[in-house]
Amino acid sequence: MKRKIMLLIALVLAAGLLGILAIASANHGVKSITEAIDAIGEVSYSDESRALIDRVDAAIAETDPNLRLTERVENLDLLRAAKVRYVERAITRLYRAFRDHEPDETILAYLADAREAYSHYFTAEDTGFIHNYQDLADIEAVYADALTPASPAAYPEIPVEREQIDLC
Amino acid sequence: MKKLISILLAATLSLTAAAAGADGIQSAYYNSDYAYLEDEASVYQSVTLEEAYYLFQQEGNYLILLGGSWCGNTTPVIGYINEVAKEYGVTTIYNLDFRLDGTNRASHIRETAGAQSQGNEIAGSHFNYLYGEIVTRWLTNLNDYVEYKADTEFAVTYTNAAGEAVVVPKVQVPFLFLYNKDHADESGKPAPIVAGLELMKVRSDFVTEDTVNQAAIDEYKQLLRDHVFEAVAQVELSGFTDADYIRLSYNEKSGRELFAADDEIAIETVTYRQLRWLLDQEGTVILFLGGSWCPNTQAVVKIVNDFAIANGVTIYNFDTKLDGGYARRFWGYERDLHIRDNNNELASLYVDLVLDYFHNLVTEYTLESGNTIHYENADGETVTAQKLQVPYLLVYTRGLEDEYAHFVPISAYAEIMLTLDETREDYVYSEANYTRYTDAAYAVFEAWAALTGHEAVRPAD
Repeated sequence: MKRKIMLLIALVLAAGLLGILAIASANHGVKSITEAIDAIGEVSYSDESRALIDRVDAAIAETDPNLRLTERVENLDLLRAAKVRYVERAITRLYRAFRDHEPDETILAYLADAREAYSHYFTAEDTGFIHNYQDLADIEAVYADALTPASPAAYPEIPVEREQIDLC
Repeated sequence: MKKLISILLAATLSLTAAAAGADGIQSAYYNSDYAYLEDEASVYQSVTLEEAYYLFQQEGNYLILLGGSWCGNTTPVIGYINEVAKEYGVTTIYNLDFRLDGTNRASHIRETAGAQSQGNEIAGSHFNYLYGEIVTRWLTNLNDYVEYKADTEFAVTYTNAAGEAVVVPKVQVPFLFLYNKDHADESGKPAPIVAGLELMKVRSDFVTEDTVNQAAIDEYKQLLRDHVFEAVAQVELSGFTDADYIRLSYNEKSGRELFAADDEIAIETVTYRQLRWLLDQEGTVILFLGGSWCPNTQAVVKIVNDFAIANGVTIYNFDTKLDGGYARRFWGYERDLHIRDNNNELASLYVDLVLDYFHNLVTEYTLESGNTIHYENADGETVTAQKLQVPYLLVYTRGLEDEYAHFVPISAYAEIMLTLDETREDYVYSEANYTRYTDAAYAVFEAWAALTGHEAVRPAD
């Protein structure tokens, strides 16, 4: 009996300890994510900004979804804002090149960058978050022909008069 | 008022301080627009068509040059005319261009109706009475000075307000002349052109590659002296400023003394070409779109001028009626040359102006309202712009952009229509209307002040 009571106490203590560890781990996760978001700072269309944003996404991806840590991250809205800003900066870069009549190659390169930036963080339903998304759409429309893969060359017509064909 | 996020330009000085002299933008414009004029203080003063109408009616002696910077005959000699003018102590030559947009033959009013250029009818020829009336009313002895006289195949025929065909000589440009409406020849016959020279030269007459033909230049200058400036030396030249024109036209058309004789006026008129040049310059300017024909503009022009005076800034006036509505108002013609009118052959001038420069224009008539101005371009496409109403007061900074690189050159504006009729609800001097307009005008001047390092001032009531 005494042994059973001791075992029960040990189990309770262990559970408590595990609980404390879990809470501590969760708090640490929330703190890490929060700090990583704060570290993003001023966003520009740059590798640095992208790396900082992606670091937060990676940190969130590593957390146990059952713990719902993201609901406890108070500055999570800043993460979306950073992604919006990053994409908007990419589109602004594109728009300025288009507006200033930069060479087509430059515009097409910036166009691809802007579209990739958008696709990296957002889905097709999210266009409303991006203030200058219409600029991207408009410029894509202008360059639609350049963006459309060329149709494969038609096969040459087979001569109708088969008598003229050298049969293999 | 839009909040400006970023300012692209390094220069934040008012254009009037940076690029203009005491004569507003005239010197800067002429020095910039004419390739062979190198004088930052030339004698030239542009006049709009209606301004010229008023000038021709003034007493006194005036030196006038007909021609424009589009003209391969005017550009080579404008520098020489300037030099000889200064030899004689002349400070002002008034310049009138019959190509009302300053560039395209389509806007040329000195053509017989239906005249064509490259297979297209010259739209300006539909308004050739605006040229014809000048000759008929004021340049009555033009025939004595021009090659294309009234009895030649090159003469201009126009239909006057009574429906009669009238034939007048066709002046070629450049035509430099001394004018006095009251001058008569020795026999007493009216001779308002006192002296004049119509002579077409090209650049290669004077300069070929790097070789200067000094003898040709000297010969040309002597012709100027013999035909024009020796006569100028015998008289005292008179002055007719933009302020004179503003005062006369607004007072006459409103039937009121909006501007007293000694009122200071800080409004400078600009032609279409000058307006486009102005909007291409670095810096910040205040534009006042409207004309003396417009009762709404009449209602507020004094208020706007008071703000300009109080703030020590010249504001630039462009009238979308390129003829000021003068011919219809005073001569009985049926049409105005109003470029902000879909029925006008030159509506493209308005549409292109708005689309090229007024990127963030805000108007009561939105594009969605359908009340727009449009034209069909050479490719058969409809080109549309918002229709602004006048008076339209705005502050403009070239190159100003928002955080998304969209041009937002207009930082503040006032589009408010009021009237001088005290019986109406929109009477300008009712307390509510006056406050509304002066607050809006102050916002424009505040925006100008913020961009140019000044402090905006409200004029004393």
